[in-house]
Amino acid sequence: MIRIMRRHPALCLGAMLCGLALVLGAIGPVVIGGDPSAQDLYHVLQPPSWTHPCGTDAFGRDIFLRLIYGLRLTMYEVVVSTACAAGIGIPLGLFSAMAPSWLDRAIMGLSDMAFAFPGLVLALLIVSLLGPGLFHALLAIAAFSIPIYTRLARNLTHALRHATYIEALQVLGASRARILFRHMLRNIAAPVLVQITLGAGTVVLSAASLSFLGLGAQPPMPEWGTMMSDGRNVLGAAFWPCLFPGLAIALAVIGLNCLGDGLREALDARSEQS
Amino acid sequence: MRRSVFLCCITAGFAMKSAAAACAAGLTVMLAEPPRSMDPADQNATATHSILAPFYESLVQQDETGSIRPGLATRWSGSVDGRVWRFTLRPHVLFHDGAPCDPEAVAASLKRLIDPKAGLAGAGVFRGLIMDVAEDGQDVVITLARPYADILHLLAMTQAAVVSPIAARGGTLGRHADGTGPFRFGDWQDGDHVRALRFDRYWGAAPSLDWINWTWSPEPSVVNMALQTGDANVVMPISPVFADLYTPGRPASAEAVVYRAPGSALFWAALNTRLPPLNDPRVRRALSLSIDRRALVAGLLHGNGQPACFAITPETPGARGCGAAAGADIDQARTLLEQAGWHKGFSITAVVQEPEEPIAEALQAMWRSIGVRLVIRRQEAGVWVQSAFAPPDEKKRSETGVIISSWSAPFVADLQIRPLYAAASAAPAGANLGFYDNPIVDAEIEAAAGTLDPIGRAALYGTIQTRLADDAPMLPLYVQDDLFGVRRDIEGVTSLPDGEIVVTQAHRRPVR
Repeated sequence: MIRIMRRHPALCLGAMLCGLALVLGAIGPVVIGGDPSAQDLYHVLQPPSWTHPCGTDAFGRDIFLRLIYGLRLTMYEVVVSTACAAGIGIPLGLFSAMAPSWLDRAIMGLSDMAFAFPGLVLALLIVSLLGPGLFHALLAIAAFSIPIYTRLARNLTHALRHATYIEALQVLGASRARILFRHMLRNIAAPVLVQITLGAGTVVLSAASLSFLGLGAQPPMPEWGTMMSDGRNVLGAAFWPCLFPGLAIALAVIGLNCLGDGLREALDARSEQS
Repeated sequence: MRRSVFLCCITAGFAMKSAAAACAAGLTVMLAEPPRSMDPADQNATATHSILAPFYESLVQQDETGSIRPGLATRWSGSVDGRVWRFTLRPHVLFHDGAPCDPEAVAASLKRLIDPKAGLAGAGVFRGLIMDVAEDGQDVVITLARPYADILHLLAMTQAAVVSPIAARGGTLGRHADGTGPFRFGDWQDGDHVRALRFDRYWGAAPSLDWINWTWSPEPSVVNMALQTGDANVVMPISPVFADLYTPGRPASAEAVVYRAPGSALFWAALNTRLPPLNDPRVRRALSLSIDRRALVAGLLHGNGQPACFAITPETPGARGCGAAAGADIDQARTLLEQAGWHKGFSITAVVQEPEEPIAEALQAMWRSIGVRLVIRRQEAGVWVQSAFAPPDEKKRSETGVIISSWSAPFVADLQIRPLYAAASAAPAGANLGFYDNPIVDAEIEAAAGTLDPIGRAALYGTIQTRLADDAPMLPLYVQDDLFGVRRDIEGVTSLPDGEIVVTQAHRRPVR
C-alpha cells in the first residue's frame, strides 16, 4: 500500500478524495438528516460555529448541510452527463474507425467543427434554446463532450485496426460488431477510463458555471454553483457562503483530475517500464 | 535652445492641465440599473429619475419631506372646484439648446405628454386626467377632466418634466436629454456611463460640481466595493446587507456614511388574477396569509424596512399598518385553500429579475408549507419587462402566475394605488400586472382622488386598502428603507420620497 502511495501519489490522493466524496454523498444526508432548503430568516449569515460548521447563508440555511446534499447533485451531474457523452461518443468513434473513409472523414469533420466552439459557449447556446434547468444543462455539457470521446475512441480503434489479433479475428469470420465491442472496446478501455475521469472534473466545473449563471440548477436546489452565486451578493459582508461551495468545487475537481492523472500513469505501460 | 523652449512649453501645458483637473470638481454616482431613456416622459424607473433629475425641471418640485416647492413656476393657484390650475412661469429660463422656456414651450411639453399618439411610457396617470393645457401671457393654465387632490405632486414627477420643444420635434430626446436643469447632457455610453456637465446659463444658483458621472451595476457587492474604494462617491441603493458595515466604529465607516430615509419602494408579488387557481380570491388570500412578512424584513432587509400588508406605504397619509398580520397564519391559509378545493396544493411560476430572486426564494419556502410549489424563472431585465407586461393571453400561455417587483412613488396614495390596481392600468398599458379588475375599487379610486377634503380622502383610502387586502390581487411584502452611501468628503446629497437621489447641490467638504 505504501509502495503504491509512493509510486502513484496523485492516484492515491484522487482515489481518497473521490472515495470520501462517494461515501459522504451516499450516506451523509442519511446520517445528518435535515432539510437543505429549510430557511430561518431570523438567523441569516451566521458565521461558522459548532451548530453550523460552515455558517448559514442569506436565507439562514445551513451551508454544511447544503454542501453534503449538493455532493449528491454533483454525483448525479457527473453520472448523467458523462454517461450521455461517453454513451454516444464512444460507439460513434468505434463506428467511425471501421467505416468507409468518406464517412470517417465526415464524422471527424463534424467532430472538429464541434471542437471549434468553446465548450461553455456551446453549452450556453444549448441551454438558452432548451430553457434553464439542471437536466438541460447536463445535456448541454454532454453535447460538447461527445466529440472528445468520439475522437479518442476513433483514434485508438483506428490504431488497432491492423493489429495481428484483429486480422486473425477477421480471418476467423468474427462479425464486425463482435470485433468492435468485444475485442477493440476492451483494448481501448484504459485510456477511455482516464478520459472519463478527467472529463468528470470538467463536468463538475461546467455544471457549477451554468448554475452560477442561473442556467443550471434552479432554487432551492443545493447545487454548489448556485450556492456560490447566492453567496457573491453578500461577499463584502460574509465570506463563508461563497468560500465553502468554492472549496467543495475545487476539491471535487482536484480529486477527479488527480484520479485521472494517476490512472493514466498507472495504466501506461511505458511509465510502468521506466 | 529651441528644444529647451519646446520642452518648457510642453511642461507648462501639462501643469496647467493638471491644475485645471484638480480644480474641476466632479461626482461619480453608482446606481443599480442603467437609464431606460433620456426622455423623462418615456420611462417609469426610479434609477432613471435620479439620472434625469439634473437635466430637467417641472413646474413644481418636491423636497425631501414631500412638500411642494416652486420649480419652473414661481406661483400657482387652483379653482374652487379643483379643476383649473394656473401656473405663473419663471422668466428668463433657457433650455440647454438655447431655446426659451416660455409658456408655449411648457404647454407643448405637457401636450406631448398626454398625446396618445406619442405613446409615452410614463404618460399613464396624466392621460385622461389633464384635459387641456393653454398659455395665457406668462401663465400656463391646466384644465383637468376631474378634480384631483394630488395634482401638484403629480406635476412634480419626473415624467411631467418640461422638455425642449426643439428636441421633442427632432425626436432626439430618447438618447439626448434636453431640459432646463442645472446640468446639460454630456454623453451616454451604453453599458458604461451617462455624463452630465454643468449648464452655465442656468437660471438659478450655479452648482459647485462641474460634472456628474452616472454609472451602474446590478451586483450589490460591486456597488459596495465602489463606495469603499472611492470608485463612486455616492451609491444608491446600498444593499441592506452592507449597511451595517458603515456603522460608527467599523473600518468602512472611516470611508463613507450610509444615510437612511423612510422607504418609498413597496415590494410586492402580483398574482395573475386570470390564471387558475389564482383567479380565486380565497387562494390569493391563502398565499398572503402564509407569508411571514416580519421574517422577510429580518432576513432579507436585515431590519432596514417595515412589513407591508396593505397597498399604501406606511409613511403615506391614510396608510394602514400591519399589526399582528405581519406574521404568517398557516392554519387559516390551509383552511382557505381547502375551501377553494386546492388542499392538495398546486404549482405556480414566478418571473423575477435577479435583485428580486431572494424574495422569490423566501416565498418559495413559505408557500411550500401550504403545499404550493413555486417555480422561479429568473430573467434578464429586458426579457423580464416583456414577461411582466405581457397581455393576459401571453401570460396564460407562459403560465406566468406571479410577478415579483417593487413600485416607488411619492407619499401620495393615488400614485401608489391607481397604477397597480385600476383596471385601466392593466398590462401591457400599465403596471396592473395581474389584470385586477374590480369596478367598485375603480370607482373608489376615482372618488378618493377627487376628494379634496383630507379626512374624507383618508377614509376612502382606508376602505380601498381593506378591499384590496381581501381581494389580494397583489401581495404587499415590505417597504425597504432608502439606503444610500456617500463618501465622507461629499456633502449635500439627499433623497426624495420616491427613492430618487438628488446630487445637484452636492459639493466637496472643505479640507480643514
